[in-house]
This record gives sequence, structure tokens and C-alpha cells, in this order.
Amino acid sequence: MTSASTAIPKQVYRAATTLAFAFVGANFIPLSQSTAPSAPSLLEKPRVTTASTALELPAFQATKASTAETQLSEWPEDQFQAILASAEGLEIISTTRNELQTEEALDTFERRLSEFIDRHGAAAIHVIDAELIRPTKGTLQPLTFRALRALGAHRTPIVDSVAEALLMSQLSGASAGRRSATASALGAFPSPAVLTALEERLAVETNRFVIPTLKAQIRFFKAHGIGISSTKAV
Amino acid sequence: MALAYLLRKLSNIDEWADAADSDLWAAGDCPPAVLKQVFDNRDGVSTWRVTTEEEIERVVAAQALMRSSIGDFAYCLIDEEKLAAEGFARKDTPQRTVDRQINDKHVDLVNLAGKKVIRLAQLINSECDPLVMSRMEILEAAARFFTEGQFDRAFLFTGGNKGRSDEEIEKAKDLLVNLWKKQELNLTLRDGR
Repeated sequence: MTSASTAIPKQVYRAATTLAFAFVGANFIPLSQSTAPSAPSLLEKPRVTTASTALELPAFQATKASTAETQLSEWPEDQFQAILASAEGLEIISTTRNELQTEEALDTFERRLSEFIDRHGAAAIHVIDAELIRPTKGTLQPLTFRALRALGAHRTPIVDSVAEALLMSQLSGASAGRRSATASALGAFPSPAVLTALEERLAVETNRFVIPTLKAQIRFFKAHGIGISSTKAV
Repeated sequence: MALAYLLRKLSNIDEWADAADSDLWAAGDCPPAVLKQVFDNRDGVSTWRVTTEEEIERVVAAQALMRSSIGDFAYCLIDEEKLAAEGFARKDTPQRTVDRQINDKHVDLVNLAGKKVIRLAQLINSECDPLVMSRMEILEAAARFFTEGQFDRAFLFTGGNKGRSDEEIEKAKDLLVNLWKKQELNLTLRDGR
């Protein structure tokens, strides 16, 4: 991950930056002032596992011709991957945001986001959090719901833990649509802790469309023994 | 014709959840986000006539397999007698699905003027209990129906004049390959085929 052996020389960084912005293309519309988070987040420091990255970097030796070059050469791979993930994520989001949001288009958007997470792991979740989940603009809501649902799939243990933590933080949000999408996505992470969170939410939930989604996940968890052994132990 | 419940899919339950407390309902109107879900096809509002729990599972699982990915399936059951009393015209319109025993259970609500569409949205919002079958429950049910031979694997990949389009077949292939890769769906028949 972040080490001298993976530092990126200036030429590679420039090429990668060019590549990253080529992903964005002519349709790019910035969704926020910066892709960096503007508020504290669970995901301030994305960590990308080698297994989940799509790009293998050549092992160049860093040159030390100047201070500027040295600084560029010390860009850690994590950040390099984060730049690529950010560019790809923004392209996916801006494309869908600018087209007619039919159910088919939203289905495609959710699938693209899911594949984006498959490729970039936690770095992708960081982008999705910054661009779609933390912002509360009304026009983004349909995309936000699909983004939350895209988090609900098994990937690697590290990525799953980041996704689950982000979802758990949304389960009691003010938006009923977000709670519905979150409850549905949490169904992918059966555990006593998630079951408890779903049951606690169900106890106070009043929205008639969120309740059946909570019940469906709880029903499945219980049918498969999730939480039963811990209850017996107590 | 026996009267029963008509199962209507809620394409995007998250938007229904967000719209549930809208002031438009009390004004006899309907939020646009859910209106476009109710009236998503000019030919009519697609529903399935169901009378048993097993029929509900079969309709839901069959519908889920028609898509390119499987998620939770949200739906509501609308009392057909009530719809009849309110003057909703219904038309039996058989469909081709992976489960040939449910094909003739498809019903379109037809000749819907604007006020009727809004009334239908109001019925769904306030008088029908929304229900959800989780993704995992759908996969379990689908595996059971494939194993017991109620779902026809061949249907998913049959093209030609009486079959599916190339695009639909590609979708089915993608879906099943992805589910198979993650070992999420067992397609084996009981006799091992």
C-alpha cells in the first residue's frame, strides 16, 4: 500500500491523471466543489486492497531531480487509485444525472455503481459517499437510493466492512426513502449486529413503506438462525 | 371469473416511502415520483391475479428472473372486487414467463384516464399493505421452483418468433452467470440434470 516501493514518479502520475480525466469526458459536470469530503466521514481515508484494484502500476524507481518531482514521486498508490476511482465514479454519476431517469436507466445506474465498487473497493465507496450519500439535494435522491442499494452485495471482507458501516450510519436518517434503501442493502450482511439494528429501527419506524422492507430482512435473518445463538447464550 | 387480489409491483419502493407523507395525497392528488411508477406503460397497468401464497412467490420469483439483476421485490395486493366496484376495467393479457402455469394470470388495468391513475396511486398509498420479498428469499424460492421443475430453464434462452429477443436472452445469461459465479442460485433439477 503506502510505501517507498510503490511511490509513483511524475511521468506516471501525469499519464494517470490524463487517463483519469479522460474517463470523465466532455459530459463532466462537477457535482461538488471537490471530490474530497467536506465534512467528517466514516471514510476519510480510503484504503484500497491490491485485490480490488483494477490497475497494476509498473514498479518505476522514483527520481529525485527536484523537490517538486520528489513530492510527486511520493504520491502513495492509495491516492493514485482514489483519483482514478473518483474520475470513474463522477463519470457514472454525471452521465445518469443528465439523462431521463427511467426505471431501466436507474437499474443500469445501480449495476454500474455495483461494478464500480467491485473494481475499486473502498475507494469507490468513498466517492459514492462524498457525491451521493452525504449531499442532501432533492434532485439527487433517486440516485442516492440506488447508490445505497448498490452497497448491498458481498465483495471482500474489507470492502464489506466499509459498506456495512456506511449503511448502518444511514439506517436512522431523516429520509424515508434512504431508510428503505438502506434496510434493503443491509440484507446482504446477515449478522446479529445488523439484525439488532434492523429490529431497533423497526420498533420506531412509522413509514408504511419502510416497515415491510425492514421486516423482510429480519424475517430472512431469523429464518437462517442469525442472532438466535447469541440470544441463547444470553 | 374468480375475483382475487391483483399483485402490483412497486418498482421503486424507496420513492413510495419518500412520497408517503406528501401533502398532495390529502389534496386528492399524487406526487409525480410515484405517479410515473403507477402509469409506466401506455397499454395498461400490469398486474397478476393471485389467490394463494405460493402463487405470490411464483409470480414474484418469475418476475425477478426477467430482469438483469435481482434485488428485493416490493409489491402490493389490490382487492380486485374493490377495483371492480370503483369501475376499473381489467383485461386478461397472458404473458410469457419462466413459469408457464402463471402465464395466464396476467391482468392489465386498461382504459385509464388521469383521474383513474391518480385514484389507483391513492389506493396503493393508503389502502393496500405494501409487502416485500427480500432478494435472498427470491433466490431461495427460484432455486426451489427450478429444482421442482416449475420454472423452465429453457424458456430463458429460447429465441425465435415465439421466444425472447436477443437482448432478453443476453440479460438472462448475464443474470444467471453472475448468480452462478457467486453460488447464489442452484439451477439443478431434482433428477440431477
